[in-house]
Amino acid sequence: MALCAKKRPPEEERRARANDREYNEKFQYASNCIKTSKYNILTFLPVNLFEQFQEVANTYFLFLLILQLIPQISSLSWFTTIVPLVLVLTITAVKDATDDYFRHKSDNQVNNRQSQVLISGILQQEQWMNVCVGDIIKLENNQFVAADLLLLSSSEPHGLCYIETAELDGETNMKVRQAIPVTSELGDIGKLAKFDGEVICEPPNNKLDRFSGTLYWKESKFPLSNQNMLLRGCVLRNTEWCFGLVIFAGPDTKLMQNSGRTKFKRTSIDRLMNTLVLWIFGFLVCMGVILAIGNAIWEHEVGMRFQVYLPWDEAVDSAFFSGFLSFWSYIIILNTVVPISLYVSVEVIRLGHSYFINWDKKMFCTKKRTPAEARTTTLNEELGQVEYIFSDKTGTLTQNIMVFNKCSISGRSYGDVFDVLGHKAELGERPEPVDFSFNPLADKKFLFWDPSLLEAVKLGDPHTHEFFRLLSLCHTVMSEEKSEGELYYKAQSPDEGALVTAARNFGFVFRSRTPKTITVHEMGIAITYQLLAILDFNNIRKRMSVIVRSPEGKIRLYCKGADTILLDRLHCSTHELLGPTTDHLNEYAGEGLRTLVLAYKDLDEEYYEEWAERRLQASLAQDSREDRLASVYEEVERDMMVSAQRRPRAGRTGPSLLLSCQENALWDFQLLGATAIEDKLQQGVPETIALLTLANIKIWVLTGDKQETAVNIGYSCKMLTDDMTEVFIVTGHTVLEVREELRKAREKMLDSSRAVGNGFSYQEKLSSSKLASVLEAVAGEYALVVNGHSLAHALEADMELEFLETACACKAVICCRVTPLQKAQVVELVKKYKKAVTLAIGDGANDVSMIKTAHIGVGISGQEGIQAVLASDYSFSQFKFLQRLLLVHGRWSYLRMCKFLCYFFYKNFAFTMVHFWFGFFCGFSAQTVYDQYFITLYNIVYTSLPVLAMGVFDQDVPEQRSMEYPKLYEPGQLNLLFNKREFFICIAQGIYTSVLMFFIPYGVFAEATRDDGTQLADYQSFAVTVATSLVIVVSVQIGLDTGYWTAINHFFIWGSLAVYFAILFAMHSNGLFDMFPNQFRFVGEEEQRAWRVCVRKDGQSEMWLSGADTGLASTRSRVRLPGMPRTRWPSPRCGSPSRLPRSSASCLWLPFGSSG
Amino acid sequence: MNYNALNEVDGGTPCAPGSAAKTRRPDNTAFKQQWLAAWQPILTAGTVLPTFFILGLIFIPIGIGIFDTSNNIREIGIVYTGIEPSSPCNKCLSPDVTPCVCTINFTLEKAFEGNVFMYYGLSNFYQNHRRYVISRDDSQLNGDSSALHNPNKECEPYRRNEDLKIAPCGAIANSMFNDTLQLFLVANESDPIPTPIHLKRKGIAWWTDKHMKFRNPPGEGTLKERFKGTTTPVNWLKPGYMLDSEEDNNGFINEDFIVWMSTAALPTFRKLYHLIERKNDLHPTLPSGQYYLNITYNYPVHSFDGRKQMILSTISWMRGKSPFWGIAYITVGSIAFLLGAVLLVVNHKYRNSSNTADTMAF
Repeated sequence: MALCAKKRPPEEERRARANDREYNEKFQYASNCIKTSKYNILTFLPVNLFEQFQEVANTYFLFLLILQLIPQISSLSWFTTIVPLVLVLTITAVKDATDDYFRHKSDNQVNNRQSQVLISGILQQEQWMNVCVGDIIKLENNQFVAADLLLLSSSEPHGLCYIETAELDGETNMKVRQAIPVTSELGDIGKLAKFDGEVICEPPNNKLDRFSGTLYWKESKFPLSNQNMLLRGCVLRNTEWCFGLVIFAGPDTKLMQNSGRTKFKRTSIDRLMNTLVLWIFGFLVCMGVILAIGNAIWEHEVGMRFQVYLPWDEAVDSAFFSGFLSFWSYIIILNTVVPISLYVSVEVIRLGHSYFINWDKKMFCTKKRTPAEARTTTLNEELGQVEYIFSDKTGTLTQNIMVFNKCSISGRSYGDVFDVLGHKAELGERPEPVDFSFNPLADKKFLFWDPSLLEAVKLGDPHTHEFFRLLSLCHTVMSEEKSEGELYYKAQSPDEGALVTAARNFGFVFRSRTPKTITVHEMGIAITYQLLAILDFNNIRKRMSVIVRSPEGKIRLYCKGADTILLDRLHCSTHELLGPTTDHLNEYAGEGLRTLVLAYKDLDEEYYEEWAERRLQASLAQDSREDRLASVYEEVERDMMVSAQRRPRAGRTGPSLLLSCQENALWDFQLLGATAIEDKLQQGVPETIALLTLANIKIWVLTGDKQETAVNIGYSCKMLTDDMTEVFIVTGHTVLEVREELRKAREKMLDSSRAVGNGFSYQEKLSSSKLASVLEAVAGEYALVVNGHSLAHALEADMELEFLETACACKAVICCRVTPLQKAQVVELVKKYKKAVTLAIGDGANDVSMIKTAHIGVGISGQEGIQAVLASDYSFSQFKFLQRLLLVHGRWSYLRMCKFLCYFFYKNFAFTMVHFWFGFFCGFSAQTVYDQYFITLYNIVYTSLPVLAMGVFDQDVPEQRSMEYPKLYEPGQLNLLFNKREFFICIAQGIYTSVLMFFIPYGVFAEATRDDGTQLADYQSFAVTVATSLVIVVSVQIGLDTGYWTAINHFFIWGSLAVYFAILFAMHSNGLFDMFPNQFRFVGEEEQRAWRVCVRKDGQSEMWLSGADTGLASTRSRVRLPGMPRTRWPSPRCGSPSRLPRSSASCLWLPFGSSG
Repeated sequence: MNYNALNEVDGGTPCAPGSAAKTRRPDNTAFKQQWLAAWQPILTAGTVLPTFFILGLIFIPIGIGIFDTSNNIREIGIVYTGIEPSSPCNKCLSPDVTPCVCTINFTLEKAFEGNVFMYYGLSNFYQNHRRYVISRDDSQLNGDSSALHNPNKECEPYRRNEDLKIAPCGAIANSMFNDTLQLFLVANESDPIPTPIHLKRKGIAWWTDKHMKFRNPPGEGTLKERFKGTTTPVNWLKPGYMLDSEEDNNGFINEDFIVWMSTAALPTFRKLYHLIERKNDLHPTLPSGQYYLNITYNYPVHSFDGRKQMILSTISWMRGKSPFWGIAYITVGSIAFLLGAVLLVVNHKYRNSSNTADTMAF
């Protein structure tokens, strides 16, 4: 397996010759053996340790360990550091080892899969890992593709084959791949063995939907595209067999190239924590320096003369040097302020929270059988701090189940439901749906309510027929006919499926397709069209076209696409048809429907031939093939023109009139009409948005839909309301227009706030920084709708701030017609200037960039494959789960993490600072206060579990409350629970505790004696007293901090105390001392002493004292100033949406605000 | 405080009815759904205020009791370092005078009842210094014969003297306090012969120290033979096997030695020296009157500004004299009480104002 990975210089291009292993070996391409595992048995230990010590924390502790081995410095035995370090390293190593073991297993399994390879003219069984670039392999039905193959031939006609790409992109619909014609004849082994074509293509990359290469064979060149490729990870379906030439193998395959780690996201708490750790480290060094100076002075003033009883070490010849050494000694004993267990505990807590998200049955969608999934375990607490949500519309807010709802054909609109009196009927009182029984191939599930459309079809209106003919021809849907008449469509996009199904029911049944033909049943008659070209859909073109030759021999281009694109392209001599169609489009969009414009164009034979040649040239191009193709496509789709038609009445279009127009505009586009597809809102979307808005989360919808559709959806999901003061719409096409529109919007907002009487003078807002703050406080509710083309200008460097300020002053922002890149840019803009946590939610491949850019990416596992989910940090199947994810899980995670960190820093400062105070009384000699076992176990045994339990299980209010009172979410956004201020309070409290922990025993011990007169002021009693009081005090503190005592919390808190005492007595027992007098010298004391200190009144009082005192101090964290009954349970009045903002703030502040 | 019982709100997602796949459906357990029954202590005015007052009410009387008891304890300390030129022990500061004996007179105004404990107190003496604390070999002290002849390295530089290993080794043992203190009662002015007070040498160490932790080297013969092959710490005047005449208080199990070996936590400390046992109920153990302290001054502390004193103290139920303790209790109690009062006032005030605020908001 070690042979698998070899570093090679990056390839410029790839050459592979079929059936010529010798030739191909020259290039030393990667073999088909994959290796996802990192270690083997021999390398595991060194490599894993090396990796682990790349973590700064681990190296730091290793450094401490080395310091401790120097006798002059060692203030603690080595085991105090090595035990936690080894524990942490072991846990990580075990985790890595298990992961790697499973990777080994799956690697082995994959590498040993069998495939049939054509070697020297015969098919031989070979393991996958032995397949080489240039081999020809045979695949059978339902087999996994072993490497990235060039499809040569298959059992199906025309070298077609069908694949499922679920493992690659998650899409479950079948896709068709086709061999290039010259190779598709190579059906038998004999011919294949003689095949010696050479493929020259792009180097390995991770673009799943793109491939460009050329096949050189028999002195001709053949262009290769993604259409000819079978990628590793796909499964062959519905195809008996096929042959393929291996182009990329093993690690070079697109599947493996895609499996790279995604960018590691960090939470703001993470970053804060790292900063704080650095500060603490600085603090540690300061303490070290203070104590070292103290040591030097002490050695000089006292130690020098105390040499009578305590001579200096031989190696230490001066007070200065002694101070230098004691600096390191103190670094060792004070290092517990930055405990190694911090990072591990944080990870454990986050993992726990992730599991709670996965386990939440209220985020489980029964219909799709998908539970919510936390795909990243490190971001949970940031879910409690989200301020901006960027949402996709289609499939995220809506169901993405498309229903053909309305259409406009030749200027007449169909699909409205009329009641008997001719008024538009309201929902719910619909008459019977249209009866499609005339058509045996109709889809029973398809419903349509306007009978006039069917009548028009039956009457044979040519426009209507052409309209549906286009729908049945211009698409990329695959059909499957299990039995006669039982058609199933497999569509890549639900829109297409809806349109083809509509055509099917209206008598234009798409029956089957081959690469060169499409068979359609037109009103019961099977007609086969020759398919000349498919001009594919993509996000930039926003349209797709097909060029077909009808049985009569006419060549026609059918095109459907977004209205902006298509209408622009229509070069129309009259606007007569354009006008009503545009009206209809606006009407449909106003109802929230998705619209497409349909048009066709006749091409003449010569033009087509010429164009086809250019297209071939473009597709053969090695470089910038995409661009060239795009421009060729552009050319043929240009000059679409609405013919000079009168607005025709349905069924009464004058053929003569039509003909006369066509003479003038033979090559021009005929506008057929438009379709409107309904995409229903998901359940609970308006409620969720309303709730999130109440939680002060700003929601921006970024959609590719047109403005009217987007605005309408905005209204239907309550983002926009009629109560809003104004909805600004930015549609400018130039920089100046956009700037002007934004400026006007701002002025209006400011004017109104001035009118309210806030008293801002006009001059004040001229400075940009002031402007932002003024705008933040704008009164009234505004919304902003931005168009894609305006957004492009608004996102330019000199305007982005203006845009952002305007947008942020609005309650709701809708950006329509945006490209995936713009989505990411908008997110990036907010991230850059607002310092706020952003969350992007989407379901499709076009949301991936936005999901990856935002702090938190949420994928909706919906209809559009799983690319968004794969890129996301959290995934679930319904938008409405977002409220639960944020308001319940996020809020709790944030709360728990903050409480955890506060307590964690507190307990370590309380623990460690005692050494600092003691330094002043032991000659700054780095003598510890506690015994070494206590130091070792304090962080990993005595105090770790209770705080972990709190970090995992704590709840301040039950989940219903956080949904009822979304204002409770605000502390997270304002970062109130853990910030630098809170940190200093925790630290101060820790230091305060340490002062009590040290000076109360000090005061008592200074002259203390036991009740039998023997002295008590010995070091061991002192140590046990301080340690015991400390454990009790921090346990009391965690008890006060824990707001939700489950059985587990009880068990851990009481258990930790019990374990402390058990270990204390065990350590102090005679038995251990008898066995190891030297090792246990410190503890070599009898149970009696421990008892005396802990139980009898000797030590008890100190503990009670310090305990009570600290208890008093500790109340800081939880005893809030009065109005207490209300503090943790916001009163109904506080939470209700109707209340005034001012009073809400005061309600909000109570649970988290200042302390007593 | 209220107890939140299991929250039985079944929130099955109304995504769509239909047959659900049991496999991927999360378990409906209290743990996984975060419904674990839990006690949610809520700190409210109703619970916190009484707690503070009760704390105050408990701590203040205890503090007063302790303070009072502590004040009734008799304690007297006689500093005999001899730094002041007027001090009788001043002559002993010079190392030439050996042995140096000095005498200090003092008066007990009130009689000491019950058992009286005699301590020596040292200050500015760093028994808690890191290098000092580790400079011992517990195996050796526990009677391990191999350790006796080969003490561990930590004892350096008091591990060996010339070729012989030091027993007991280390800086702690080496620096053992070796002044001899004797107490005499001057019965009356006319009687010139003072009465020596009987000082009990045994019973001053912790039981287990004496019986478990410290053991003499095993073997036959006298203690001297058992210590054969080792030498005495350099500072010691007497060898280890001659610390006391009694066999069970000699060598490593000499109680003065044991007391010295359990190091003090702070640089100012006292260690029990001798006991003065109560004779009977009729006479106080130490009647009031004139005493003098006879000191055989061997232990130099002057060089590092140390101070030596002899302390006589009685003991009560709450141990020796320690005013700090009572004061601490009283302080804590007062703070609790005060905080309670402040919170009460604030609570009262705030409740009113918040009520008005709420009513105003509506």
